[in-house]
Amino acid sequence: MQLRGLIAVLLLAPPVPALAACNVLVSTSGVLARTGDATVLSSESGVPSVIVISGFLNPSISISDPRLESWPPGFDWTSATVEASYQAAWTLGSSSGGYSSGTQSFSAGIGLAVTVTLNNRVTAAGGFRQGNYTTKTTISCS
Amino acid sequence: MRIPAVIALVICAAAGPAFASTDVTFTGTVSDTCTLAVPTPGIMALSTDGTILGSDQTLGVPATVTVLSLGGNTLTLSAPTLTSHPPGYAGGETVQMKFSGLASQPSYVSTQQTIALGLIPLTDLIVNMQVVNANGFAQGDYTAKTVLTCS
Repeated sequence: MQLRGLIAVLLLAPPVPALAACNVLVSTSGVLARTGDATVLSSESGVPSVIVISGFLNPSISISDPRLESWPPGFDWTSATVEASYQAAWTLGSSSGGYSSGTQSFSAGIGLAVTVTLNNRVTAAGGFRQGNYTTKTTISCS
Repeated sequence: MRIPAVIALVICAAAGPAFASTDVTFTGTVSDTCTLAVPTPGIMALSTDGTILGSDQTLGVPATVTVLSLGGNTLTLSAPTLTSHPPGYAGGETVQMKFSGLASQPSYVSTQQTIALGLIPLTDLIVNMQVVNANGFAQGDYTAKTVLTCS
């Protein structure tokens, strides 16, 4: 009887964190390219990043504020604005967020995997110096 | 024995990872953000006193350089030099330039000049050149130049 009682308690208990456990299965790097507007460098003109996250019960997914990680010497990085936007889809739903320089988050529904398409863009009113630019965004799930 | 095994399975599942994160990187390369063109070479003419050969003398024509910059570039004009002269020319000249339009250097200078460029559409830089020689010039053709570099 004691064992049956214990099993009943375990089965009736609310979902434990492990049931919402998630993992980042795949993430591809993005490519920034110049747009027709010389003040914008965007992955919409290049290649967006695609991230696949596994999760079963309403995983909460957070997209950090995007950061400019590297730029060529002489570029006035303080005048640049870095933003990210996303589109996410899972079995029975979707979510999207427009360009923002802040953190964005959403809760996905029940499903086996969430596919997130992430875009980054850099805007510099003074244009861009020749050279290489890198932005970075951290995606977390729980 | 089967019931404890089920319990152990449930407990192990509850101890699984509940958080994951990854960094996503975007890279981009910007190139060819500056273009120079010289639609109008300059022509130098002799001053009335015969000591200045300059593009701003009567019948002279300044050079016009068209600049397009899509970013924070630097335009450099090298120190002007006399690159050709007729045989028998004794030398001793001073070569100078000044410019206006895209940027302004109103008085003649003999040294290298730099101009900070931002985001600018096609814009003209008008360059005047002069060769000054108190001893005058031998008859013939003279060529002076400055090299423009955008980077």
